Amino acid sequence: MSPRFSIVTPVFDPPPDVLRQTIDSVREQTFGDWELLLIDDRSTDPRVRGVLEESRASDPRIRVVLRADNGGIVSASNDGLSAATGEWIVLLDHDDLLARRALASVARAIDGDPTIDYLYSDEDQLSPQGDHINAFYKPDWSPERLRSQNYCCHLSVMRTELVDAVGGFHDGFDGSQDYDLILRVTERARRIHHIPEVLYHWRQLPTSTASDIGVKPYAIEAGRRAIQAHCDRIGLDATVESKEPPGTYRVRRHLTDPPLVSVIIPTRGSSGRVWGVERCFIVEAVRSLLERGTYENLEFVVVADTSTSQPVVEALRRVAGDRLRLVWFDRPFNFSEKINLGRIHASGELLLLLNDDVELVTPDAIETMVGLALDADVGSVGAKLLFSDGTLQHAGHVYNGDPSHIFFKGSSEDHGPFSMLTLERECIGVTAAALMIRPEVFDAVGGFSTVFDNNFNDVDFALKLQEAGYRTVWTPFAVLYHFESVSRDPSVSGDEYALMHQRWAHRLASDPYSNVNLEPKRHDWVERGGR
Amino acid sequence: MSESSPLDTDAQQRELLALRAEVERLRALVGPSEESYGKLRLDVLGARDVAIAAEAELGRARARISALETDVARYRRDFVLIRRLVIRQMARGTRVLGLARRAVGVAARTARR
Repeated sequence: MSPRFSIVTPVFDPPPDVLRQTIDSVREQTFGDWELLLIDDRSTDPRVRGVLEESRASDPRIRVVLRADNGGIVSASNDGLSAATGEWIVLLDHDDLLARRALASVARAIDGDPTIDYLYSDEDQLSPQGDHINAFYKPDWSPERLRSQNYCCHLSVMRTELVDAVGGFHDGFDGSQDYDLILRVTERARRIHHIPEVLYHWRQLPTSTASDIGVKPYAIEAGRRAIQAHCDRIGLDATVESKEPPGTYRVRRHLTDPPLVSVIIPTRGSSGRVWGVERCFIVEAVRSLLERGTYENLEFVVVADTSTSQPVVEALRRVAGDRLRLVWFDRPFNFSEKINLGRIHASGELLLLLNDDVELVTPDAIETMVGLALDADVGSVGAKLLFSDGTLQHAGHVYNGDPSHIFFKGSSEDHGPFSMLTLERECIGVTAAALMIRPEVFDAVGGFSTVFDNNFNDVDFALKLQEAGYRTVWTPFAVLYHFESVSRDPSVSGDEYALMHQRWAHRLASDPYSNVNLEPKRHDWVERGGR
Repeated sequence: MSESSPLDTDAQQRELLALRAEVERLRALVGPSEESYGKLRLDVLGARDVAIAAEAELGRARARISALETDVARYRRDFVLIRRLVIRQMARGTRVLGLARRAVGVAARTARR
């Protein structure tokens, strides 16, 4: 009878004691139905052969494949796949360790859902001193993030049938061959499952990418090519660029026919001091989009309180010209109502909801957001918003107990844990201060709920999108200043808070893009302790 | 192509003269500082740039404080964790010590008998 798991480990000159520890970590698994395939790619160190033979003799579940020549990691890994007899392929590098419960946890997840085709777990790193460091508590399935970074990486477990169907490892991606395989497998997987447990310990060696991916520059380029090939396969017209920090990428979507974007801005024409200078917010917001921005196909649907002064309206007309659609609002303040009214008057193929107290920073911000918003399964797209002092106002929402902005008031120059602040990625919600959406999606979820007149309307909207099955994506490549709360009352009413919890309690405690191993009610990714 | 009537032209002429007179009056009021407005605008823009830089510096300091607060949260968590481990170890040690004392007592009593 074939085993449940085939663990594939290509071997080439690891330190013998390290290889022994790797093999021991498999033998010590609490789940016993496995085979370990050790494929020696003609190691030059004779001690490696000794460890392999000794291991084979000690356990019948360990099989050794000796290659006739040194073919590189792709050939060796493919030899492992050919020899595998298990239902599932488990990838294990020759110097890393599996957690004792790794296979048991994977088996439990598989037993719970027969449609799962690919699983990945959290991981940490093993320092040269043997300490477990840099635990990577990952989000649930996040395809945009996978296009920006190989965040799934270790531990990866794939259905053998699917690995065969996609043709195993492909030549030409050495150093990122696993990234390429994960992309191809996830394109066809029926269901992808994340296990929020550290099941893999990635050893930091001077030659390993665990310590610094910069030691393998060819791997960075191979990763870029793997994502480009993925985009080509799925019909995503885009160019992939390597970014800083190394190992992160940007998928720059091409816009052949830029659609009309309706910028919906609720306003009452207020002014305030920013950087020591008085400004009329709505006028300067529109001016920045037109003068600094490079996207031309715009209309401005300004939903203005009837109390808005005439000089403001005239200034707005001068700046926006015939792109302006002025919609008067004569009811008590209700942000949601104003947005919904703006949508009715919008004629664009895309809506950009914008607060009036913003200023564009990156000239191609709209192009970036449009590229993402046109993806069929994307609900809304959010931008990177900065306070006037340059600190981070918005990098996506996190709902782990209470809604908050990820790394609120943190440094906008920091990369964040595992570069999360530099990547396009899914998040549970984005602020309505700068949110792009297709009108049909906006309508499908019933627009903004008017019961949330001031606060949490975007949280409610985000959760409605999530329930409807849409992805919400945040991009760090569309940057705006947001002089938040300069132009409105920042206080939160108890009624709104209670209503939000009443409506969404089941969602507010389980953010799929956070992790149960992180402290609840924090936005700064502090690991949960003392469990 | 449009043509103005003579009446319009007269009216415009009168308005033009009035405006010129107003400009002269204002110039007389401002005196030799007439060009100061342009300079003032430049000063404002310069001051705004300085304000942006200063505020950005303040932002960096604020962000550093945020990062330190995160570190403090981590240290607090580690402290609680370590304290719990130490208490557990101490409790185990105390138990072992108690058992050892009891054993020694039993041995001593046995020896006395």
